[in-house]
Parts: sequence; C-alpha cells; structure tokens
Amino acid sequence: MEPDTELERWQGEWRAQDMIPTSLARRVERETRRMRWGVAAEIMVTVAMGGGTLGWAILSRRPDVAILAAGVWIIIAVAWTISMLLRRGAWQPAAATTAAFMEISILRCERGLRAIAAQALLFVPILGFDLVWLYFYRDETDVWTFLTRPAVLLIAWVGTAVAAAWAVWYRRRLRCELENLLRLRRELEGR
Amino acid sequence: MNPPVPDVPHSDRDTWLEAVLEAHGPALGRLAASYARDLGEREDLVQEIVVAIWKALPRFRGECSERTFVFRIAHNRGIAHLARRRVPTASAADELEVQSPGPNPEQALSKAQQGDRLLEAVHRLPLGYRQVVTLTLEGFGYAEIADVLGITESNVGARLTRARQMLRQLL
Repeated sequence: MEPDTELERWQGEWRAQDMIPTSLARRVERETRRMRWGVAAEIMVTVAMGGGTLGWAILSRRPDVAILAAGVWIIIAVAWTISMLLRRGAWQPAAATTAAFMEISILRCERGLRAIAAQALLFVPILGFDLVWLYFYRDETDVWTFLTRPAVLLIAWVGTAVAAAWAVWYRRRLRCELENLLRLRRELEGR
Repeated sequence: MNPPVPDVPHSDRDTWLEAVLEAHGPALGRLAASYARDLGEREDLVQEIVVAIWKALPRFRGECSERTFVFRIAHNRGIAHLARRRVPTASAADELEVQSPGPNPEQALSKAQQGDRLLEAVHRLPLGYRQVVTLTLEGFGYAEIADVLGITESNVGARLTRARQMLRQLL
C-alpha cells in the first residue's frame, strides 16, 4: 500500500501547531471550585426556604406560619415535579457519540423554553400567595397602602420586572441556540 | 493507562486530568482552534472542554479508549460553543465562492505558517467534514472517528474524501 503523502504532510503541518493556553490549569481549578460552590448554594437555598419555614412553624406553633410552611412546601413540590418532568429523558445522551449529543442538546433547548413558560406560570401563584400571606400576617387594613409599601414595591414589583427581563433575555438566547443547533444538525447531516 | 473507577475522589480526578492534558493537551487545543477562530474564544473553549472532561470522568468505565472518550467530549463542547454563538458559521460552499486564497510564497516559508493556512482552510469546511478532518489529522482511524461521532465508517470515508477535495481547493 502506497503512503498517503498528502495526508502525512497535512498531519505534520497540523500537529506543528501548539495551542494549549499556559494558564489553563489555574483556570480549570477556579472553574471546578465555582461549580462545587454552585451545587452547595442550590442545596442551601432549598434547605433555607423549606427547612426555615418548617422550623419556624414548629417553633412558633402559629397557624398562619404553618400555612406559610405548607404553601412553601407545596410550591417546592410543584416546582420539583415540573423540573423532573422537563428533565425526563434529557439527563444524558442515548449513546455516547457526538450525533447523540446534538440530539440531546436540541431536546434540552426545547425543554428549556418550556421551563421558562412553566416558571412564568408558577411565578404568578407564588407571588400571589406570598402577598396574600404577608397581608394577613401583618394585619394590614388597606390593600393599596400595603401594595405601595417600599419593601413590597421593591421585592414584588421591581423583582417581577427584573425576573421578566431575565426570562425574555434567556428565552431569546435559548431560541438562538436552538436555531443554531438545528442548523448545525442540518450541516452535519449534509443537508 | 487503566480506566479510573467511578466515584473517584477529586484529588485522583485531578491526577487523571493532568495525565490526560499531558497526553492530549496540544491536540485538544488544535481541536478547539477548529471550532473557534478568536484566540480568547479558543482559550475559553479549551477550558470548557477540560472542565467537561473533569466532570465526565466518573462516567468513564473503559468501554472505549481514553482518547475516544476525551475527543468525544471535546467535540460535544465544540458543538455547544458553536450553538451559543450569535453569528452562524459560514459553510465551505459560501466561502469558496467568496474567496479562495491561492498559494502565498511568504506563508509557505515555515511549517507553522502552513499550519495556519491549513487551520484557516479547515475552518471553512462544513461542520460534518471539519470534524472528520480534524480527527484524521490527529491520527484517528475510520473506526475510532465513527465511534467518536456516531456515524458509520463508510460515512467517515465519504466525508473525508469530499473534505480532502475541498481542502485542496482551499489551500
């Protein structure tokens, strides 16, 4: 069999390039540390919200706090159920290949878009429940006065605006990513 | 090297990663260069690839070679990088019509410069061809390329033949 000189020449030229960044080890170390903190933060938020309200309800023995704890746990349960349903079949590729990765990336993007819609729908009852609970907990007498308190204005309305802006931005990013992935799949399939 | 067992402690993972980088680091850098033209983007992509390999280590059970495992992850990160980009990549067909750089005596002087020209030409290939070419240039055989990309060996051969034709035109 004759040697493939053209390919050998290209391989020589290709491998002559050395492109590994020197600071890589440090950057990777920083990134992996950040990931571990991210996981820890998620657990801490769940424990603080769910455990905190439950602990408060047990210690205070007040029915209104018990209602808050029940509400929080119902919301956590609904959120987890939606999250599990949306992640079903999207945990890992069907096969460990690049083609399978492409398929699961597309699926994750589609599920991500549905997740944004679900989060928006879930946000309305969460905000409603929190405001109603707070209204009665504080023994407020006038709805308008309560809704225009600086703390409520900041947390409920500014927070809602920020969350909505983030959702719009993230949805746009996901749609762009999905379009790119569909284009790349067509390119991979030679269409 | 023996495949590491699942649930390895972080320190062992770090040691394994060091060995992987020593064995495949430059090749991973070149692979990243085939997905990202900009130097900053390229460095970010290499970092993403290495972190993804580090994260995927517990899933490696030795069903394939370490090299196949590592390059599969690297190509997957490359695709994810392209998907996140705002500007879509141009296909070779478009690029060939726009410009086809002819031989340049100055660029042909050194091997590194020839490597640059080759990289530029590889960038202009459609993704499916680019993946097959970069793996071939790293010395992968048809079977291993098919295993990394999830396509048949005959498909690898067909893509490589077409890609080489395009590269000849581009170089």
